[in-house]
Amino acid sequence: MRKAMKLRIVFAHLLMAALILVVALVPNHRRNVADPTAFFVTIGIIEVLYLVALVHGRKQDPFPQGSTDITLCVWVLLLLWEIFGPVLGIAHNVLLPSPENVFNVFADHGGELALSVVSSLELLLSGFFFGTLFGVILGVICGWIPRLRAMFYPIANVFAPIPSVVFTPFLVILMPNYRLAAVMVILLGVFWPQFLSMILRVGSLPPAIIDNTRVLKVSNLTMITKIIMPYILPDILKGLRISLTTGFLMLMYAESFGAKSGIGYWISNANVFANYANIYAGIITCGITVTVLNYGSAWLQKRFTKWH
Amino acid sequence: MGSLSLRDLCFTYDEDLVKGVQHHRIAPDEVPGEKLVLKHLDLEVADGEFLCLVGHSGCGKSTTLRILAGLQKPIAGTIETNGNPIEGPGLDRSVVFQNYSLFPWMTVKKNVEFGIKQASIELSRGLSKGQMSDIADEYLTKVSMRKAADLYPYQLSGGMRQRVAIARALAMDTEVLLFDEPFGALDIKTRRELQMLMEDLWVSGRKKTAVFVTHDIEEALLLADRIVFMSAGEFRDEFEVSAPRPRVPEVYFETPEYKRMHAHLLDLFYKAEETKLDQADREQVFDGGATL
Repeated sequence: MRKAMKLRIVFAHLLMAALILVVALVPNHRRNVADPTAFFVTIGIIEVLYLVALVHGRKQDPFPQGSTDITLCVWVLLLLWEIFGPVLGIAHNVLLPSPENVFNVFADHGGELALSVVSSLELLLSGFFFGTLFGVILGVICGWIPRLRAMFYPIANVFAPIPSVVFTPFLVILMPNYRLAAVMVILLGVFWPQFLSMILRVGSLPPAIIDNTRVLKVSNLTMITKIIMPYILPDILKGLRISLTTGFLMLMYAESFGAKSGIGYWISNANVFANYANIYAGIITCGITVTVLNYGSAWLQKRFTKWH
Repeated sequence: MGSLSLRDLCFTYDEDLVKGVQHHRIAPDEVPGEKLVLKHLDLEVADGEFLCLVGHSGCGKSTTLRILAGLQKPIAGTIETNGNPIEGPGLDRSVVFQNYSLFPWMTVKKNVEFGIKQASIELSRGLSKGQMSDIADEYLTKVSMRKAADLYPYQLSGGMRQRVAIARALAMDTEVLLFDEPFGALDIKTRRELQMLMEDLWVSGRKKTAVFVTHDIEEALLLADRIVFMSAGEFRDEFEVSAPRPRVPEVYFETPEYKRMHAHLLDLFYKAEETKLDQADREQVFDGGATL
C-alpha cells in the first residue's frame, strides 16, 4: 500500500516533467502565442500547491491519496490538452485554444480579471451579509415566538425553494441600478433558506437546556448572547457554506445579463467576441474564487464551533 | 439557613384542570384524586438535611423536584424556603439534572463560572472576575476536574460531566441543592465513584440542605439523612438513616442496620408495584384502556 502510494507520487512528478518537456519542445509557430512562460508558471504553482499539501498533511497521512490523485488528474488533463492541441493540431483551435494561450490571458489581463472578481465579490458578499443578517435575526425571532412561527414557517416553506433568479426581471425594474438588483437577488436567495433553518434550529433548542437557563435565572439579553447565539452559530455557518456557492451561481447568472463588470460579465462578454481563451480563463478564475470562498467558510466553521 | 417546606401540595398535568383552578372555576380540593400527579403532599426538610426522595419511575418524585426548582407550578398548596414562598426558579436553589446540566458551547470552567456569575448577579454578591475564576478553580479541584477546565462537555465522559455539574451547583453557594437523578444514566462503577464524591463533599464541606431524587436504594441509603418513599403521587413512608458518616460502602453495607433498611425499602418497592398493577387492572376494566 505504502509502496504503491510512493510510486504514485513519483509518477505524478514524472508526468509533470513530461508535460514541461512537451511544452518546451513544441515549435513556437504551432501555438497562437509565442511565449509559454505563463503556462510554465501555472505548472509551477500547481506543483508548489501539491508539495505544500504533501508537507502540510504529513502528520495525519504521509501519503495523501486525495491530493496525489487530483494532481495526477490535472497533469493528465493538461498533457492531453497540449498533445491534442498544439502538438497534433487535432483540436479546433478556436473552440479549444492551446493551454499556453489560456494561461497567457492571466499574464496579459490579470489585473482586469482581478478587478472583475473584486466587483463580483462586492455584490456577492454584501448580498450575502445582509441576507444572512436578516435571515438570522428574523428567523430567531420567529422561531422563538410560537405565534410568529406558526405564521411564518409555512410562508418560508413556500418561498425558500423558489430560486431567487426568477425575480431578476422585476428586481432590475424595481431597483435603482443594476448592482443593487444583483445584490437583491443574492440577498433573497440567501435569506429564505437561512430564515427557515433558523426557525427550525431555535425551535429545536432542547427543553433540558431551557430548564437549565430558567433555574439559573438567565436574563433575556444573556439568553440571546450566551445561549441562543452559540446554539445557532453552527447552523449559520453550515448555511453559509452552502449558500455561498449557490449565491455565486446566482451572481454569475445575473451578471451575464446587462452587467458592466464582474467575472460573469467577463465570461459573457468574451463569449460575444468568441474569445475562447478569455472564456476559459474566466471559468478557471471562477473555480479558484469558489474554492477560496469554500475554504474560508470551512475555516470559519471550524474556528467558531469548537464545541461540536 | 435553607429549610424547605411543602404544604398540601397538589399537581396535575391536565391542562383543563390547571386552567379551571387558575380561573377559580374549580376549587383545588374538588380536583378528582385520580387526575392528580401529586396528592396533597406535606414535607419539611430541615436546614442542612440531606433528603432522598425514592420511588418507581412515574411516581411523581421528579415532578416534586421540578416544583421545588420552580420549573412547574402546583395547582394547590405552598412551598417555602426559610419561610419565603417559592414563586418560580430562584438562585437560593441550584439544580443538577440528569442530562444537559452543562452548556455544550462553554468549556468546563466557563460553565462553572457562568453559574457563579448568575448567582452573583441575582444575589448581589458583587464578585469580581478574578474571584469567580478562583471559586471555579476551587470547586473543580474538589471534584478532581481542575485538569479538564478547558475541555468542552462533548470531550468528557458522562461521569465527568456530572462532576462538573456538581461543582457548578456547589460553587453557586446556594442554600438548597436539588438533584434530579443525577447518576441515573451512569454505569455502576462511575455511579459508585460519584456517590463517594458526594459523600466526601458532604462530610468535608459546610452542610447544605439537599433534596436528591433517585430510584437506586443503595444510593439513597448511602447519601441520605432521611428517606421519603413515594408512590402514585403520595408519600408512603419515611425514615431516618442515622448511620454515622463517612459511610464506607464495604463496611456500611454489611451492617445489620443497613440490611434492615434495604429490606424495608425493597419491600416498599414491591408493594408499590403490586398496587400499581392492581390499579392498572381496575382502570382497564372501567375505562376500557390504560390511563396514567
